[in-house]
Amino acid sequence: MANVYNWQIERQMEYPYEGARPKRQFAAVFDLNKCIGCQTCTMACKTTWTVGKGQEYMQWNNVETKPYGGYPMGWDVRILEKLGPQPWEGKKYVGKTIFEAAPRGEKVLGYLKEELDWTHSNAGEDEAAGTLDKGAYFTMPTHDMWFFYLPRICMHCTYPACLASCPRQAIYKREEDGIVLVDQTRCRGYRECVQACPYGKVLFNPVLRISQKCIGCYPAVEQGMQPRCVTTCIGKIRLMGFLSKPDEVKPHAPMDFLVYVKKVALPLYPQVGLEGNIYYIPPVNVPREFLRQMFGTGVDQAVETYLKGKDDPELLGLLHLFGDTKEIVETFTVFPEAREAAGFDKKGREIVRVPFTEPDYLRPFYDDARKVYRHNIS
Amino acid sequence: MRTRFQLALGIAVLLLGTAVGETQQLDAPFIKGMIPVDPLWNGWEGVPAIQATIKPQDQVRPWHLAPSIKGLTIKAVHNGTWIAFLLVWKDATRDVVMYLDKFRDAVAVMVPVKESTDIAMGEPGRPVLQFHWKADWQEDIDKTFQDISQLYPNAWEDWYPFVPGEPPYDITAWTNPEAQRYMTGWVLGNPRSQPQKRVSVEEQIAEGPGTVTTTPRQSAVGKGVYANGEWTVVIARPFVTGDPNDPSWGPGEEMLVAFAVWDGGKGEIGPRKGYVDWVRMNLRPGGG
Ligand code: SF4
Ligand code: SF4
Ligand code: SF4
Repeated sequence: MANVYNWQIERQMEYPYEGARPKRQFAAVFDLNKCIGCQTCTMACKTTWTVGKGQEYMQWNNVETKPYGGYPMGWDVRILEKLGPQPWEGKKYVGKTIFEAAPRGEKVLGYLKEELDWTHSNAGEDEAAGTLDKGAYFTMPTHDMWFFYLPRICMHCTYPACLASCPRQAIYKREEDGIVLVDQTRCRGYRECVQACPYGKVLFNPVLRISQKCIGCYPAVEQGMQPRCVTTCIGKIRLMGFLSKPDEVKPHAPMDFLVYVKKVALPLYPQVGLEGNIYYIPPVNVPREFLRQMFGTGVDQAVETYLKGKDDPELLGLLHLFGDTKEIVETFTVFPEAREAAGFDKKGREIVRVPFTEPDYLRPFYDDARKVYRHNIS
Repeated sequence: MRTRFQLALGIAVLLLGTAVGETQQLDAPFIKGMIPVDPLWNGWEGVPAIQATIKPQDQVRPWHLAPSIKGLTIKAVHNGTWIAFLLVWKDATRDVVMYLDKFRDAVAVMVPVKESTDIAMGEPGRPVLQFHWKADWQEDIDKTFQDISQLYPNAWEDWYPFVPGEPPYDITAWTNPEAQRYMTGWVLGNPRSQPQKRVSVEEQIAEGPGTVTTTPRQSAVGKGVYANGEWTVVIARPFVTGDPNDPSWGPGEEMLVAFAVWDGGKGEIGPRKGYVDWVRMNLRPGGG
């Protein structure tokens, strides 16, 4: 066991391999306040990557309804339960990670998901199980009742449990972008990775008899393009980019700004110890206790910062760049006077510019040029 | 602690004062004619057997401290050019497919390529050859490729891109290279993913844990049958194949051989296995 530094829990931790951060790290920020659960992201990934035999049940991208939903079923509850109490002291996690809590003779604390766990990808999650005959069905603004959608992909972890668990080193993390891949020629279908990934993001293909997972859309990323599930997102909740090492923060890189500078985007279950690289802006309507368990100790600050976002031109501007370009935004600039935000590619070329407020267009009910009526005339 | 077979056990035993179990002796008699690849060949009855105890795999993580299979009956014969092993063990369930949460049964024979080496899949510079019989490959051959229609008979899929024909779009319909792109393991040549299997045994080489690699030349053959709560499997291979990694074995030789067995229904796969420690095999003269 080596000792590695995990900034999300602010301490050294045990990991089977020496820590070596890649040159660049694939990362994304998902704004949970905006996800509408439309599953367009799921379908985009599905139609692009998982339409082969044995992949019928697979969703590399999935969207589940919290607090009760999950794919694989109960993935979060199961691993948290196994982990036991998860104490923090300030910003430092003093409980055990899944590497430190591994039973004797195992590398990682995990469990083999059962077949039925994979069969309920958010089916029925939003339906009531019985008749609700008491009380108000909605009250404002206290949010007595709450739920939110949690879209998930592989976290392309800095310390992947899948990689750590594979007895064959068939899983690797790419030096150039930190994307974690299962080598489809080396894999022998042992499913140690399926057991080990606390996020349930490695799946077994029973026809090819090997394991598969989200590939971070690497063919797109290599071309400077954002992944499919990011660019197709209807709610424009997603932005993909590269996250710098924690001691080399670049404030004008979108990921660094949201994660390190504003601390408005938080890791998912940081206590498991993988340093996952998908970050979430927590939903403001959800009880803080629930959020703290899910996103760690930064929740209060993140929610406050987000709620004040309208008075913070830089944050507001960057949030407007979500879902507005297919290319990877390497740096961004905000023009507070013009109330515009712009994104730039690797070469510093401007690839997108958006206003903070979309101008209003009033179009006639009947479009003479196209000979059609408009139903939506805003 | 890894154990290594040592020809001169004596001194070590005296010094340590520990009770090291006798290395078992496996007699491999010479037979005339074709080597039997049939597990039910009646000639097997006259061949001497050893009853080997199964040890838990506790050398490489993940450990497997309570193997499901308790014992393995082992026999071997040769005809001068081929060697065949007969392996029989009790297993309450016949696990022949890979479901998402289930594994298949398997058994393997391991021999050092040259000198004695580490029981944990050899060591760098001292490789082992392994002949690994898999119940799912046997099922692919005996019945048909275990496709979605076999695994989940009630499954329905409307459409797969670029695949001509109609549901259930069995693997034989996947002729279009555009469609095959979604079948990674198949097109990249992973032996597990091949829809057309010719043998149920995979020949592998390894130089330590986690290094098992399919050999470019596949010479081992085999067959397994399951009846009355028992697997009976034959694994056979020519002594000499022309491969530079052929073991130095043949009639009149004495050598080491080890075994491993997996109960797929009990979550056994890869390192989660039980094994039989080095056995000394005497290949009786004849044929050569
Ligand atoms: S989320 Fe799971 S599958 Fe993805 S890199 Fe991390 S451990 Fe591996
Ligand atoms: S990054 Fe690509 S492969 Fe991964 S979930 Fe999104 S669309 Fe699928
Ligand atoms: S496409 Fe976007 S808004 Fe729709 S479910 Fe996916 S993440 Fe949510």
